[in-house]
Amino acid sequence: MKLLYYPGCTVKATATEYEKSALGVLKEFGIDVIELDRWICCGVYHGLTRDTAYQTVAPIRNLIWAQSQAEKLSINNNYLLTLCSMCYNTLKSAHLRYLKDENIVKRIKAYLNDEPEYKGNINVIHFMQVLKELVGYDKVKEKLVNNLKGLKVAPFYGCMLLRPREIAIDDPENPQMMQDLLRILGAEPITYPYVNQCCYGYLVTRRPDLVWKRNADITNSALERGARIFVTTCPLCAYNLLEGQKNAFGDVKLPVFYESELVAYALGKYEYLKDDRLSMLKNILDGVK
Amino acid sequence: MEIYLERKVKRMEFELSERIKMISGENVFKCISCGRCTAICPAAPFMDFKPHQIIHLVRLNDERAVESEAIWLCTSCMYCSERCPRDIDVARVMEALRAINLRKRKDVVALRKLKDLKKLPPMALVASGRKYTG
Ligand code: SF4
Ligand code: SF4
Repeated sequence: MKLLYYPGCTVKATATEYEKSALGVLKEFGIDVIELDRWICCGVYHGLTRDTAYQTVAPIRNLIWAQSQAEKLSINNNYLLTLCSMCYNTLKSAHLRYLKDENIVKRIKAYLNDEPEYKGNINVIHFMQVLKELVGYDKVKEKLVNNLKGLKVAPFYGCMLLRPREIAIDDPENPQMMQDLLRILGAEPITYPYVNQCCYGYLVTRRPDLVWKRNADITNSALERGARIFVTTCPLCAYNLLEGQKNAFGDVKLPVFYESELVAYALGKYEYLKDDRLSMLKNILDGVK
Repeated sequence: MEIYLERKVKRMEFELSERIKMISGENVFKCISCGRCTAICPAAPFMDFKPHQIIHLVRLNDERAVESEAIWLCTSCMYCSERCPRDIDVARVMEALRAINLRKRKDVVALRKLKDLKKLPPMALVASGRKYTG
């Protein structure tokens, strides 16, 4: 199956371990990921204000380019893969706004140059959804060679995959998608109050002190329940969880992994993990055996 | 569009609640002051006015909502919007209040002064550009 892919800035810059492992994992399941020839930053957060259109222009342009490339390559499934939670949220929200709001269609046209019109068909899909819905957890199970038995994991969804409800990939109040996958890998997801909570996001540029405090609280809560690592799919959550620990405790008590890294490990496909990440994970697993 | 709106608003002197409605699309008069938004808000402990109080200030056309620190501590986590029993998208009201400030060409964070600039995920920088600069 061919899948068009929108990477976004962050997985190309500070979350390269996420891209490497996620694309590797999909390849193992016969998914042919094709990166868009042309893409720009999604803009992060489609506009929450209703009276402006410009924040919706960047995501819609990306969707237009996806539409054109799908036509050119005769890919008919209309999917557009994202890894970053924020990109997923921004592109999906812009798409929905475009479908619901006639005004925005007109106003976006005013911003475009020679791009074709967006037909509203692109189905933005997140990596976690691909594993669950297109690959299937059963298929994942069949291919496992390593069991993560004994590893207690604190899953951290963050906000962007769950809110607003209209774009949520799982129940915003009680998401289980990540936990289900972790259980299949043999790991043990903990239950703790911060699972679908906010890491304080971009507040890190304005009030890092509050962000460190927040992420120390999250870490303590996970530690109390025996977790050994965090797992997330959001590069900003990953950053805040890690830097929060460094700044609040002076060291990292709970390393942060992307869910795809654990899957790659469980598949025995170490080439999809960065060396330092692989040895860190191995060490932790040796410790819990 | 924004500049146009700004001028128009000045000329016709809309009240704050009306401006917020125009910018965010949200009607704050639906609020029943139940406080659920505040109960879930991760930033509420540090806010000068809590989310339900911000909504109330807007309802009273009280400019303290625009000048509050709370709107800059809101992380747009959208949990308040998820929980509001009256379906008020509180996160959008927060954004509209920020927009009123920022459209006066106010910057709340000087991006060039940030430490860790190289280390920060680009998404944090872009979001800050969006949320904190005019
Ligand atoms: S949750 Fe909704 S109804 Fe309740 S106080 Fe907040 S805005 Fe008002
Ligand atoms: S969106 Fe803002 S006001 Fe609402 S719960 Fe999150 S931080 Fe609080």
